[in-house]
Amino acid sequence: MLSDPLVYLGLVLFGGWMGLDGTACGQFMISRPFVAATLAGAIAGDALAGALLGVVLEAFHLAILPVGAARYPEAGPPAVVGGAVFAATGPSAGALFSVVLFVLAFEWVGAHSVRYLRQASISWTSVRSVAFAGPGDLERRHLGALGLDFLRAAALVAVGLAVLSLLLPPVLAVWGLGEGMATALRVGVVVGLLASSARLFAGRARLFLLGLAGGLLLLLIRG
Amino acid sequence: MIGFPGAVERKMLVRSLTVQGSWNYETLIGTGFAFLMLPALRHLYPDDPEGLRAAMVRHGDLFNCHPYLATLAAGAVARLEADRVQPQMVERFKTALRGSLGSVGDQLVWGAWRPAAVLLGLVLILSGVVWWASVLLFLLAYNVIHIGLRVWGLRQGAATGFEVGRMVRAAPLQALGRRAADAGALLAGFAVVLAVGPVAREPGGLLLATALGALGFWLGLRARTFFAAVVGLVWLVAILLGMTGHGA
Repeated sequence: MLSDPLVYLGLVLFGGWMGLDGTACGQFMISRPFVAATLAGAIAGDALAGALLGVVLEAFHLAILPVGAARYPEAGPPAVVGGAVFAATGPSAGALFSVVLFVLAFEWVGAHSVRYLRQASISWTSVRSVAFAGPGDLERRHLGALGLDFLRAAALVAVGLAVLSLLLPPVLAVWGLGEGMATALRVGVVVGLLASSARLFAGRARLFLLGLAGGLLLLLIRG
Repeated sequence: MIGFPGAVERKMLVRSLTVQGSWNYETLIGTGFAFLMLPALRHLYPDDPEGLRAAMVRHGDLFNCHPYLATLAAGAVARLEADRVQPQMVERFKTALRGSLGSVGDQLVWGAWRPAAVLLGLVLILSGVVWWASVLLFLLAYNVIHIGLRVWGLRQGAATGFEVGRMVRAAPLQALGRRAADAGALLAGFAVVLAVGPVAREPGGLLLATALGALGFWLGLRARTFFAAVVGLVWLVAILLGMTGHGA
């Protein structure tokens, strides 16, 4: 588990950054689940474990499009929580299913915290609600909003790390599914989600089939 | 940028990275748009603090568009401000631009380029490429287009002003989106087969993966809810098995 306070602090700061990268600052997609979980795993000591979890989380996020007024789960900070705890616990089927389930729920906690922040910031960043003293005032308020978003995401990760670290050990103590069966189910879920992503690219079934054939060929060549 | 020094352009580009930083439910990205416009406005109103403040407030009102194409709007609006176009005309222009820049960006970036780039990252990681190289290649591939759009948008917006809508329709953005979607469909197929890897030699696991893959393809964009329920069910069964002493 995460016992080193420096690692914990590093993860909280990284989580704050991932909250910003998701929407408010940059959008370089470092906050995509497979990137954020892998990097969080690296901070916690096992990047490969983080990547294993990140692939599953990413499969769940592929078809989420932030268009129009759609409300969608927040990916980055929860992926940091999941990647770090999964890496620190040591990869196992029980940890993987428990962490994925926790992260899928926690993503909606993140989404609600974003919604509250956007609602609250009307009173101090909207020109319809505030008489800005001048350009410097607007700049300070805008940068202040970025700072608050960072703190929101960092706090979310701090809480998430603490809660998941607390919940996971008793769950693992009573986990009763064999590794082989759990691996087959995990692979099946990822395959199903990846196959569903083909529908994002409407009218391109032939290219999807060509990709399937290419992947098969690659597997055969590698033996 | 036409009529603006390089330092103004650079400041606007850097500021465009935070255009959604003060997103709120009243003016959406309005405050961020004013923040992005301020270097150009300061250049245009050097000795007129009241004019600068009035322009800042106008541009801080309700606005929204795809964040990567906000530079296109900012460049065009800065050009109109430099040409001293009537504020009411500029407002009407911004309103007209809002919807079209939103839908072009959503289709190109969120609907095609981002999923294609993510699938590239997944294919790399699933095919055994070392984790840091997979992550780095994904970030490089994605951000070439991301940063390119921001730079191109600012320059083209400033160069075309009122004609920006016509320029966007003539630009190869839709063709780029179609090519990205082609690549995405191909990579989705690759990713599905590579994900089967860990159970490829087990008939039972292979059968389960094939069945769930076919189900996922059929469910399409509804699959997320279904598979989240599957994970929840597996978790519950595993806990019950363990608690009743029937576990592995």
